[in-house]
Amino acid sequence: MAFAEISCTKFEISLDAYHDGELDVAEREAVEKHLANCPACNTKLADIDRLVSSLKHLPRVGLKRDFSADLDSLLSRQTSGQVVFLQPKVWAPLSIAAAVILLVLTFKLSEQPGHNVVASRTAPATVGGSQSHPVTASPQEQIAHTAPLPDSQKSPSGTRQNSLESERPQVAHSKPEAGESPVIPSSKQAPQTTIAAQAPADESVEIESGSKSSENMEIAEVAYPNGSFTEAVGIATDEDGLYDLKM
Amino acid sequence: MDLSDEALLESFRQSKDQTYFKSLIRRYQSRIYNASYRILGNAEEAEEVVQDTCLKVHQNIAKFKRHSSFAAWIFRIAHNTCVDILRAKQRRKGFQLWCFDPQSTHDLDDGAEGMQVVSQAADPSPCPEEQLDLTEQGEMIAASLRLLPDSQRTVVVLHDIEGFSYLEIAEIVGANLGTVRSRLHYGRLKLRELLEPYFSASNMTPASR
Repeated sequence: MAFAEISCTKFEISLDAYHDGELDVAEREAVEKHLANCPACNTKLADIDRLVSSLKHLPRVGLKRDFSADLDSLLSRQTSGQVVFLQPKVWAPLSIAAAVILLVLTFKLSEQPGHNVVASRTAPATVGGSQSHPVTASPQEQIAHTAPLPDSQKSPSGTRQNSLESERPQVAHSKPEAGESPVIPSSKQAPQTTIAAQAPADESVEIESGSKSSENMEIAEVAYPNGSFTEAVGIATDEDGLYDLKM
Repeated sequence: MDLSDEALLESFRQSKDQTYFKSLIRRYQSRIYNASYRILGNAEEAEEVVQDTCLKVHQNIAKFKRHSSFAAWIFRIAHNTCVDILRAKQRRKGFQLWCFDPQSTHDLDDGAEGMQVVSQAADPSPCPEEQLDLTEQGEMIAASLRLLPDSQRTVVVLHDIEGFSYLEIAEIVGANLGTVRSRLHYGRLKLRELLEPYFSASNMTPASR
């Protein structure tokens, strides 16, 4: 039995070639000798024949287009350098994905607070007590608007970056030094204080209200001109007098 | 009297008359389309293969050597185009799995069972080209063919559907005779396993249905 199994394994791969008439004389005789005494391999041979027969009877798929008739136009387009072949389907989803990624990255980059508060970080900061502080554009902030970005934050396209800068609300907060009186009246006196460092009037941002939530945190709500979107902006001050802008 | 492929080719080479070349294309375009469709499983891509093959044959007609048959030569060009498309699909598939489908259940590798074939054949939305496989038998076999690895499916299609010899297939796919023999054996073995439930249930030879 074991001998028969080994023998079957040896001849199994030859059965297909035997069925197709692709064996040389010596191999064919060896397979025929084995088949004469092995019902299992005869069954396998019958299975092969049945499968091959069904594959041969598989309906043929008809070509709807006659390429021989279109040959002249195909050849002329090829020689004139036009793209003849069908566009690979892979480019459509890839280009859409690339565009979406680019948009998201650009939006995230434009939202980074480091763009506007670079100069503000250098300004001395003290907590101005419990009252709300007026907010306006200081000279440092104006520098921040025109200062070049760090290399890591530069956009590959300068024009695109500029357009984003102009669309983005120009928000920058400063804190008066200790003992210094506010230059601009408080938000109660001027509920809609406009900050427009260098932006055109229609791109300005209005501060609707200002309040202090904790000892070291100032929160202001920033509204876009059309009122469709507001954003909370917080300024946290640490022990060293440095502060950070959080959105 | 029909001229042989080689005679048509020689006439085209000498006269540059496109009529001879068009006769050759007319003779092979349906075979190339059918084989490409069975290998790729997509009608649009199969048409692309036919078009690409026509242009490449016209472009490289001077490179054809008489030591091989014209049929094997033109099918080799078509096969190379099929391989390019299959590789592109493989890359696309890998990209999709990497991006969107971490819990994919479409694992149709070696563990595919006959029931999977049945469920695929019963897909309620077959493409129009697949509707040409009018019989259940045709659908079952076509669905099973699609489950084979590309290399095995190609050899099975070229031998059992298009009728090429082992030697011609070796030339078409660029492999040696032993590899062709092995691929055909394992491809048929897997097809028999996949179709076994169907054949057992019908208890008939498929060709007789």
